[in-house]
Amino acid sequence: MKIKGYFYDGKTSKRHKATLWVQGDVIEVHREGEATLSYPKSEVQVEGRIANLPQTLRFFDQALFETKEYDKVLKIHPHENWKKLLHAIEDRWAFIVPALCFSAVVCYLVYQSLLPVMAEQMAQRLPGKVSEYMQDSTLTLLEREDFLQKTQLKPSEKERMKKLFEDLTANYESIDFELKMAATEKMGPNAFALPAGRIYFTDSLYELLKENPGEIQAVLLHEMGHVVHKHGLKAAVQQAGLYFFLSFVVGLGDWSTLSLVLLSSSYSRDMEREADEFAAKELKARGLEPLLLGRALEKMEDERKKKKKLEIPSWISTHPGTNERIKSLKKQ
Amino acid sequence: MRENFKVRFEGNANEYFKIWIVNTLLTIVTLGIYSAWAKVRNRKYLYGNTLINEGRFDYTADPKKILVGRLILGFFFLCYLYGPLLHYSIGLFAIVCFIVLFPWIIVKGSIFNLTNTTYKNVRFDFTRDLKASYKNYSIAGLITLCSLGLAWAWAYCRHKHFTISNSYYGQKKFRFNATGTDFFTIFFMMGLIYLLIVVCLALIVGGAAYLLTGNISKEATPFVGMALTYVFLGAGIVYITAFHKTKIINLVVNSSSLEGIDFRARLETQEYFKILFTNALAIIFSLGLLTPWALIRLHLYKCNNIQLIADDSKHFDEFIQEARKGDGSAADAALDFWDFDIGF
Repeated sequence: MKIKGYFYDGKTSKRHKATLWVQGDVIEVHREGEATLSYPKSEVQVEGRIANLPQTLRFFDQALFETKEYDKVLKIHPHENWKKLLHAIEDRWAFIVPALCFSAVVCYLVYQSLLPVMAEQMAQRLPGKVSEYMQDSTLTLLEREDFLQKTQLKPSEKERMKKLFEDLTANYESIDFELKMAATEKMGPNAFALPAGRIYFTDSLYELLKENPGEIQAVLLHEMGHVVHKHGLKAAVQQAGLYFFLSFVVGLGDWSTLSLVLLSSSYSRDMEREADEFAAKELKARGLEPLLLGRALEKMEDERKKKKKLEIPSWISTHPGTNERIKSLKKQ
Repeated sequence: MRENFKVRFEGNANEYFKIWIVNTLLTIVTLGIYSAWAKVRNRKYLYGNTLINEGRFDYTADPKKILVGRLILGFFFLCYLYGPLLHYSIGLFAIVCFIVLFPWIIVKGSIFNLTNTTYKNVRFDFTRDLKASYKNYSIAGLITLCSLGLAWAWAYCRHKHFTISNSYYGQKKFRFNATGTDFFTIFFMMGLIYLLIVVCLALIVGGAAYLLTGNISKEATPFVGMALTYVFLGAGIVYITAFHKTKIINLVVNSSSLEGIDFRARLETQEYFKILFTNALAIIFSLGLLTPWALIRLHLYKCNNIQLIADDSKHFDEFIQEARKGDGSAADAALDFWDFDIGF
């Protein structure tokens, strides 16, 4: 058998036009004007084919032969079937299309089910110290950015808030709940929870809801829901897992960060729904209406609209739309 | 009379797509372990289809070593990220380790990547001089620290100078002659463009808000504002990236040479920006499926705009392979184990 191709002798970068003669256990390299070389066939390595690149034969002295006569190359070591496998798969749409569908389904399942479940399990098992560490680093960040100022509430109002809060946390003594009132210009009426149990409630939100203590408690319960369900930890684990999956498994490379931002907002919306459910359940247990939370949300949204703050489209937002949240609260 | 040699790329998105999807599938099925083999196959395709004067590149790395490298680097990264949760000193320890080992990592990583890259079956190589590496990066670190980051361009230039002028093709060494001032000019321009983009963004969004108030319904106003901000900010970031990439590639390539061969890169920021921007849109709207197509397009653009200048084509045949250092000795086998791949 004769195979036409190019030969590199392993010592220089010169390319020689050459013909391989495969005879029995010996492979001979014939070049014009050069001495014939001969190698034992068993010591010649054939590399698997990749697309339409020339196929490579490597010799023990670092010499190399490349050729596009793929069919003939296959006959040199007829038993190395596994080396043909990858190209055989890549070459057939009959394999590619199912592979594509399978990958898509697996990616969807990983994103939709596996990562959230794994994150949930890990969040439940990690020690409480982890939450404390996360809370501390967030606090440092808040201080550095000068995000929050000292509260302007009267002592009697502060006392009122404290009572409302303690009434709710009595059932959750194992968690280190703590309420902080704060003034802020950047956020407007808002409340948020840190992983280890510290909850911030802004003065402007108090002004907005002060007529109805039930609404204040509904918002506090929503934030407590985030802490009880360990959402801070869960989000951290989930995002790290998603980033690993996107960059190493899917191979998005530089695009991983952008995709992470777009994809992880859905996780955040799920957590908001869970916190809403927690609040609704607790409100009912106290003989209060779950819709109290809905009303508080509506007031906050009205306030936002008044100030013409920019609205984020729902598919990328970290929170579900207020209408959707109110609808599901009505069902509770 | 000097001759120009074009860099030719023969790959296409169709073939690359199939390799990419099979790589992804196998990586998923093997829970990520195959990713090292996927990387080699991926690179073999891109390198093998890149030709200069009828000679091909090849990537010959052992995937097992890539896997080891990834595991080690992953371990350090996890220590850095989550170590502080267990004890505050662990994260610090990981950072200190990384800084102390950085010059060593640069040398080891470059040796691994270059000795596993061939052109016309002759290997590239990198210096084994660890002392020089420690000296170079100590100075670069001091320059950055003492100037509070302002002289970063000069430190960056030292880094490029070290990695390029210590590279070999066969027995021949590369040369590099850019200066810190060249890099500073690029970084300075980037700062100006950044300012310009911020000002334009404010004008456009503000202007649009002024013009649109009263003309469209109240509910729609915030959406329009948000969409405008997103699109212009996104485009701005992509533009800066394009500027940075094209200017740095042009400078680095044009300042490098190899024994009678000069390199010419003429990448244009506008063209590069168009490719990056449409790539981003294509990837987002195809849910990632057009990633291979986007990568091929970018690679093709780079190849089409880089040329080599040499006396004649015979020059490419005259490079001599460096004998593998100390083949077979036990010490080298131990060293060899620590040759792993690091992708920054």
